[in-house]
Amino acid sequence: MKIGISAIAYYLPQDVVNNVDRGQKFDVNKEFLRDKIGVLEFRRAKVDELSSDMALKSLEALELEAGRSLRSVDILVVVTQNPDTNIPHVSGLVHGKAGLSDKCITFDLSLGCSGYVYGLQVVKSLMSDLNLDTGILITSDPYSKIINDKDKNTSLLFGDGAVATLLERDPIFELLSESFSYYSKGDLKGALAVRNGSFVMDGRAVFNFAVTKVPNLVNECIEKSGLDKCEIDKFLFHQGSAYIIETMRKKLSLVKDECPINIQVHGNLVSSSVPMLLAETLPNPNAKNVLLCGFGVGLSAGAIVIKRSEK
Amino acid sequence: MTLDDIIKVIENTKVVPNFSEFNPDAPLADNGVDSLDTYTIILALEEEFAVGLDDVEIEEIDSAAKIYNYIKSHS
Repeated sequence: MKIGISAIAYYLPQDVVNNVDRGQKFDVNKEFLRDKIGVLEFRRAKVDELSSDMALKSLEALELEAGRSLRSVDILVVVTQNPDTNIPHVSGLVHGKAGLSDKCITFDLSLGCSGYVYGLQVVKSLMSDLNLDTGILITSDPYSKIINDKDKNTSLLFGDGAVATLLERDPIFELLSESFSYYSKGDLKGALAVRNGSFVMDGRAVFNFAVTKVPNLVNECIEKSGLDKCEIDKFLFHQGSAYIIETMRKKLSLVKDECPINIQVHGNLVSSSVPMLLAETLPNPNAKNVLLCGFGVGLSAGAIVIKRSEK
Repeated sequence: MTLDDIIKVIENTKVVPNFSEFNPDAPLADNGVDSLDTYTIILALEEEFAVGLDDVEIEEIDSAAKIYNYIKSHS
């Protein structure tokens, strides 16, 4: 049987940040926030709430969603670039706190906004190669730990959240493995980087990367899937900013309904933005063929088409 | 390449509000173009005329006429 996504659940920190109020401190008006940056509010983890805490809560939410214990999972992969500490890895902490099986393959992937697609391929491949039944992919990257609140470029954009995805055989969404597509362009200039402990972003460089390279990757992914573009019901793009999403949408000649946006209430969730959109898309039976595309830190991009199973 | 070619590329980006009132001698910001829309215009010009503009240059050549003069002198 095919391996794919059978459930998704997420955790959002309780504290809601009003971005309109914050925008006023930078003389950024509500229209620009809404139409260009796209973020009107977002969640922020408490100071003592770390990547593993968010990841564990998303795992617990996933068990509720699946309706059963997942403590015997065969593989746990956590995508993060803001671990609690450099050592040990976040997935190890989640493994210990959740009391997972001592046979569970457990490791982190250090990737940013493209990480979900990479993670899907890694978990799926291991499950296939080792003939395993259950895998969990968690994205948990609390950017609030590295955001400088005085930096207008970044402090109005990023939110915190974690998403857990259950991969099994006989899934809701099958992964069309032949469609996995990737793009890398080593970022030596620091378009997205941490300097002196704070995250910095060259908005123009990121914009140019997103709108010149990613649409080509999307088209490559569709072609490899064997489907026509018109057969893709939803395009779930990384929520980099409202302006980037809208520019990419126009470049790909897509209508707005095909490109759901949730950045207004979540902000840019880094590797969690694509699975968060997918969690919101999963209950929609009309979303049969869905393209997932993440892009950002690296510079790195990944895309895949997933197909709703016929049951 | 003429100034009209530059203006045509800017028009095709569709990011300028009230393009009928576009003033090529005025800064893009005074034509209602915000910072993110400027990214779109600069990228379109770079692709059309095969030139590279760095951030410092963009701050200095802030109107269509200045962009035209810059590209003409660097091509």
